[in-house]
Amino acid sequence: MTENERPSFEEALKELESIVERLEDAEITLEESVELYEKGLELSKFCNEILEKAELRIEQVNEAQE
Amino acid sequence: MAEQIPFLFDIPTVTQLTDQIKSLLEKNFMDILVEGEASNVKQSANGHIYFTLKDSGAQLPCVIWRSTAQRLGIQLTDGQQIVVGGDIQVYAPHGRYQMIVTLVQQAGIGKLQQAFEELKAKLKAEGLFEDIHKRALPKFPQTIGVVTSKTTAAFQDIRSTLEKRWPLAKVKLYHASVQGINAAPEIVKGIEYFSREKNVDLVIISRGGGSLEDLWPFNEEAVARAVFECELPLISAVGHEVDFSISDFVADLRAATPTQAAVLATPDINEVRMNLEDLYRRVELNTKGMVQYYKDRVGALARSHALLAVQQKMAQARANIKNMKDRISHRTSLQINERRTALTSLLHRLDKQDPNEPLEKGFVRVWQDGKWIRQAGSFTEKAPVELQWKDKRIEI
Repeated sequence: MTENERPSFEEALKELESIVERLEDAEITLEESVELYEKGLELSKFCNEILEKAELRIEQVNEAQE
Repeated sequence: MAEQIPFLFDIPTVTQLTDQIKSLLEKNFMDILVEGEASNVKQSANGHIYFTLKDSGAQLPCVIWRSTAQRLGIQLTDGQQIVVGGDIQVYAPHGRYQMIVTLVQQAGIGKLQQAFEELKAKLKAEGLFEDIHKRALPKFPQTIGVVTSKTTAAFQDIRSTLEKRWPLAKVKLYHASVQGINAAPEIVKGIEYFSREKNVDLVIISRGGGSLEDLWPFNEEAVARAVFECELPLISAVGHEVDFSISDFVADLRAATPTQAAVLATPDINEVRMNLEDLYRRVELNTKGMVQYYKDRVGALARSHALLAVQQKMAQARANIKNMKDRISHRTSLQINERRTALTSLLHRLDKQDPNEPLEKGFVRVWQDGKWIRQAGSFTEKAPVELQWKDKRIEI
């Protein structure tokens, strides 16, 4: 929750899904389509980066009680 | 009283009687073991632990002095099935007997099996296992809370599975004993910690395989209640495939093993990658498809009859305009030529009309009083006459 301004992976993926849905809608104009394409490209890069940079982090939240 | 009590000299006082009872009890019930369910567990301000050990027929007040509790590291919660060891003590001022506890252990297997069935039936009747209480798990958890012992294989299994499957996750480990009498209270604290802090997307409580006694903390009522009260989705993963614990029934989801808990909690990164690739392909395909569609449409329009007809009309119009321009310029130049010819002939004729022409041929012009006399009627006799030749004018 450190990257507050950036969307979470899930949010980005959801937005990408909705872009695909809208692109597949026949009612769309060419200008909209190009705009959506650019946004889709950006989101897919963003998601990909998160996936490829991911590294499991582990933190113990209470004191060890041995 | 129907009969008079016989008079005796040695009737004991309450103190004397209680002293007898005390010595009788304390001598005979020294260093004993007793099994039952802990209830009404309370810690006094001085740190002593008071509780009642009970079964369906009787109750036994118990106390664990603070020093003992600290030395043994004992934590208790209500509902735990335990064996306690210690001495019976009679406290004369209150006329009460109680057990001074110096040892606490989990109850034996027979007792545990019975307690398991009883608690399961009780919680089921209360509706704690109902599906309506089950929370949905998050699809893409960012942070996962794990309540288990950090030294166990269970935690290693969860960790390595998450590393492979969903390394995006951050794991918050609440270290708790998962075996023995202290385990249940520690697990409860772990669950309550995450439920209160809400710093994770879901909680996994887990331990690896073992005997019924080993797995017992997850069958304690306190753990079951904490799982039920937990405000976050919770997966219970206790023991092996064949082991079911009470926490499994109450949890939002039961995992057969710690590894499976990590699998159920997370999406597979490879599937997510493929899904992402697919989404991107669809974005590209649709956009390119649309651009191509418009290109084709524009091309088709350019070749359409309507447009060709327009082009032909325009060509025709252009040709007409050129034709008219040509004709206009042709006619203009024609007219100019005509006028030029007319002018030339006029000039020519003008040349012929030159009044001096006859003089050139030797004719003489007669002037009188500055006027050209062109006929005899205009002539005045006896007036001075001026004759004009080609080369000279002479007055006579």
